[in-house]
Amino acid sequence: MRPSDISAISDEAFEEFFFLRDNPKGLIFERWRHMHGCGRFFNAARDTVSDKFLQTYKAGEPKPDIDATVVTNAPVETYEATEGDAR
Amino acid sequence: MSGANRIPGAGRLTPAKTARFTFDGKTYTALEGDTAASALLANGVHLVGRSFKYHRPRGILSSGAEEPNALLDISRDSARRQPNVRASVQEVFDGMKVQSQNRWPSLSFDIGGINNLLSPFLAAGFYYKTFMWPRAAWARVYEPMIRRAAGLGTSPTEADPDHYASRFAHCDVLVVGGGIAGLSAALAAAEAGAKVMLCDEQATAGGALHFDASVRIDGVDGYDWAQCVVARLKAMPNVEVLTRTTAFGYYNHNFVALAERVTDHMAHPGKKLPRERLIQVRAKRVILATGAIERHMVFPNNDRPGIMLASAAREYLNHYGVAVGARIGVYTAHDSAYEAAFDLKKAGVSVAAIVDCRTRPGEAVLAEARRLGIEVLAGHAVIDTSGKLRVSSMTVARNGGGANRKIAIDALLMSAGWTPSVHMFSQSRGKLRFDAEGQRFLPGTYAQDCLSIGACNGTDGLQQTIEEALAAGELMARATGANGEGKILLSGEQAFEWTGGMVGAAEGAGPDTSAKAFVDFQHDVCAKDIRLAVREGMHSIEHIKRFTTNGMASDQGKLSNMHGLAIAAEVLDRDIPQVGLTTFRAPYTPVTYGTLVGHSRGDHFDPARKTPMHGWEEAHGAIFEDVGNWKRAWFYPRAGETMHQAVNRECRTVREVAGIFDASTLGKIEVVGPDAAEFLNLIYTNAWDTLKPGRCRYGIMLREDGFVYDDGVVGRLAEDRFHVTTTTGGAPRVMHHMEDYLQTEFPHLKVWLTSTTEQWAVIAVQGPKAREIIEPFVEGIDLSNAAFPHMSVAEGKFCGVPTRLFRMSFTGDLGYEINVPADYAKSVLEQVWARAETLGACAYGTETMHILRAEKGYIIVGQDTDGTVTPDDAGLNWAVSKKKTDFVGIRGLKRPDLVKQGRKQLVGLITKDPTIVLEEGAQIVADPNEPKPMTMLGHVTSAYWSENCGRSIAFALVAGGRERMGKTLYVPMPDKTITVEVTDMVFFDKEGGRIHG
Repeated sequence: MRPSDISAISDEAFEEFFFLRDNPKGLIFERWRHMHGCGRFFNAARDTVSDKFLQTYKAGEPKPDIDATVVTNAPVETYEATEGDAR
Repeated sequence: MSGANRIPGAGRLTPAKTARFTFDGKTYTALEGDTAASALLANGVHLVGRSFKYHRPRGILSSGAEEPNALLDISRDSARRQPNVRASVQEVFDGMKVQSQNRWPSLSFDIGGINNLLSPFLAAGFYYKTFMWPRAAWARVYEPMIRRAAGLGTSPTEADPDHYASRFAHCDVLVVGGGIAGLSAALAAAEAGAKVMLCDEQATAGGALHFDASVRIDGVDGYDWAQCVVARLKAMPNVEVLTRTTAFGYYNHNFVALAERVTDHMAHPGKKLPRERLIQVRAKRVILATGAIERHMVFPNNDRPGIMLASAAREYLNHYGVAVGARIGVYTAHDSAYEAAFDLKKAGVSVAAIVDCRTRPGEAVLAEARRLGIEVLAGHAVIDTSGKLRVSSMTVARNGGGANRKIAIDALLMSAGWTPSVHMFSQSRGKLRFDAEGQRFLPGTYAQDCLSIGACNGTDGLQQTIEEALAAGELMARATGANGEGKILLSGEQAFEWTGGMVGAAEGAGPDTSAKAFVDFQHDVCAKDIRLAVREGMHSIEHIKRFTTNGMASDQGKLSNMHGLAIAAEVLDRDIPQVGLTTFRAPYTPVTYGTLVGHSRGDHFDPARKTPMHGWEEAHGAIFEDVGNWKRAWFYPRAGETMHQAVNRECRTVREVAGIFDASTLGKIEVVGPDAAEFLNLIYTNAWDTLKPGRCRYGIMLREDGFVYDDGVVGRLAEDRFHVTTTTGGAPRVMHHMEDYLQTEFPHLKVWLTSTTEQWAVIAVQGPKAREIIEPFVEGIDLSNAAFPHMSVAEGKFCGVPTRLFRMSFTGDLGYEINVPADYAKSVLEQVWARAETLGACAYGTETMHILRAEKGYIIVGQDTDGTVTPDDAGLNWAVSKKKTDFVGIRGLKRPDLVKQGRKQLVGLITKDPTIVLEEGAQIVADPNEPKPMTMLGHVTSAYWSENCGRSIAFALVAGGRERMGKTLYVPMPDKTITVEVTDMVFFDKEGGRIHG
């Protein structure tokens, strides 16, 4: 979320907000837009490994409580893992 | 007569239905339903190609999608020609022209065959160590040579005249594969009430039933049962059956892509049918019944024409009625090859011997072989073959060494066992598990709502397969909510239960040998190449694959992957699952580009957007330029004029009299609501509450990081209504940006955004006579300077139609932009032009527009800015409100890097020699004699010849530009260095009085 007092935050806080993102292997919460349909923005909880959408929720609603362990232990392989030992 | 090798009474094709085709110029007769492979074999043709690297004679290896050797050029006419088509997949149509590939001058006498003699120098990866010296030879000798040698087929030269269709489909259960398992599952799912789609890559359903004639289901011949099931399924309203349809890609959320081959088998397809159809399926549940693919044996010289997979020979006999030879040999590690020998023997073909590398073949098949009088050499190996353009003998020896025995044959059937087809399962991102006992990878854990059944799931045995399939079909159907009453029971009988199978190099192709034992036929990769890769230091399977190119041809390793893996594992002294498999990627089999492209070709690929005045502009001689997808009038040359002359004339005329310009492409957004002003305050740097209705203001929009994102004039029509404009290219981007903030950051604001870019046509009239030109057409608006000063907007009528009239100027001269609803544009323009022309005005295009605005120091976002320019850099600090507490970019602007000294700033440049026009993008330096690398201060962003100024003008971004006013800088070009002086950005009418005329 964009800080409501954004003009007052520190350089570090602004960097954190604008530039830095987590790139988790597993559960991620993101903003999507239905470009070729209604044009509305919405949020989704997605598993970055399997691309499976776990849940969607409206823009502005708080993040739903999703058991992250369920997601990250899901039986899906990254391409790297399926290709065996690359030693 | 459809071929001397056709056995009367055998096969399922109709003898009366013939089709004629040519192969390398010679005419042959085939039967309807033949593939090019079966037809050629029927006519005794085995030699069909030359291998990729060694140019070895090659024949037909398989009867299915996995074919690596028999790749042919198939054509209907000069335009409808396709190279690298698998002979075992292409159905014969009357009039088909077939050509072999990769040979010169002919298939039987190919000069390229010399590569086979040079093979010691052409081992895997040889090109990593050659073609390096001398360097000069690369461009003129090596590269042209390699380009000519690369590939197998040659590309067609004419445009594809066929069209391709596309469909989207939703279903409850998608069943991929129409063999015993797939048909059973589809039946169960359909009877349970689900909406079912079933697809199979072959022309008729049945899968293994095409070759396995010993199966009976519910007392009926297996293949006949399959056709009955298809008929029954097709009659059900909730089922769609697609044959000749390959599921080639499994994507996320059960999205599966199918390619349906609609006309490739037809003699006269006509123009209406698409050649192929892409069907994009979103299924609630997917059942994979993709079967298994037989493996070849890896032994010396296992690639001669006539050497093929055992099940292929069985299919050619049982389905097509073709005997692949008169005296066949069999080399196997698996029981299934015995059945091929039995069927051929019973059809009257002589079977020389079955060589089984196992010491203990299956009991049942051994007994049957004995009963039929076929010699079985268990515990033996085929260690060599002979025959140049056709196999003529196999050399057999006991395992471990011993006396050789040479047996004359004209065809050799081989089987190392069956590899479950887990491609689609893997594409679905499921995790494979290794079945050590069966030496095969099987579906392990699923990532999607999917199940595998039958051979692709490692299920052996007919009844088990049927029961597994029925259960899966019902389970998946019920999971989608289907609650039909139907229940299916089936019982099957098969002649033999199969045992056996091996992976890796067979006797004679082991680590101590250097014979050519082919693993990957299409890329000419031998067992020794894989060992070489490991010796060279490639220890991961991906490296081995890429070093040797094993599995990288169009067959994607369907026959070679497991063998290659086993050979690598042996040399690395690791278990197969530890070495790992390379990634299975879509498409499963090659897909025609046309199928993927569909209708997005030609004009539909990149649609041209035209304004409502395009026709008028065309009729008046406009030359157009592309601005994104838009066609914009660039300039209007009169008879005999060059572009320069036309543009110079337009520039002069606009400032001396007036000009008419189409500004319709610029983005327009209607911003309405009680919080409209507050919203715009947050989006732009300017303060909008001070803008009164009837007035306009130039606004700049930033990104959150403080850089200029877009700009445009905004007019206020009422307290709660703004007419926002954007750049042409930025329109969709700005709309998206605004909606993003509105919906996700400021949802509490009551304001609505509507894109009106295409709703308003905009006719710009600019120049001293602008008012005079438009006055007679305006109703309801006082055009006097006092009532309607520069930067005003009013609603009224123009030529009798509703208008939003803006007094604004991008030329710096008196100017108006007449917005009328798009449908009226043409007629309004005609009336305006009629008057304008008589007064001496001209039409002008985007080139003139660029020059005139540059003369007045107006920037173009995206040309003079590049996403790294702040308002201050561009000299637009005046547009940034100092009072507002929040707007997009407010914090970004304060970042240390954006406020520091020495940033690049927009300035004007004039060349010392006024006739030289700088090049946009040219770099600027302070010291022309500085050694390289020179310190680059910035670059030229816009540069033109200005007729009105009588000299060239330019803008540039220059480090610390404003402090360098009046200073001399240099622009080094390849042929000369240009001297320039830093100036103000306004070159014409510096006082700016003309705009208030």
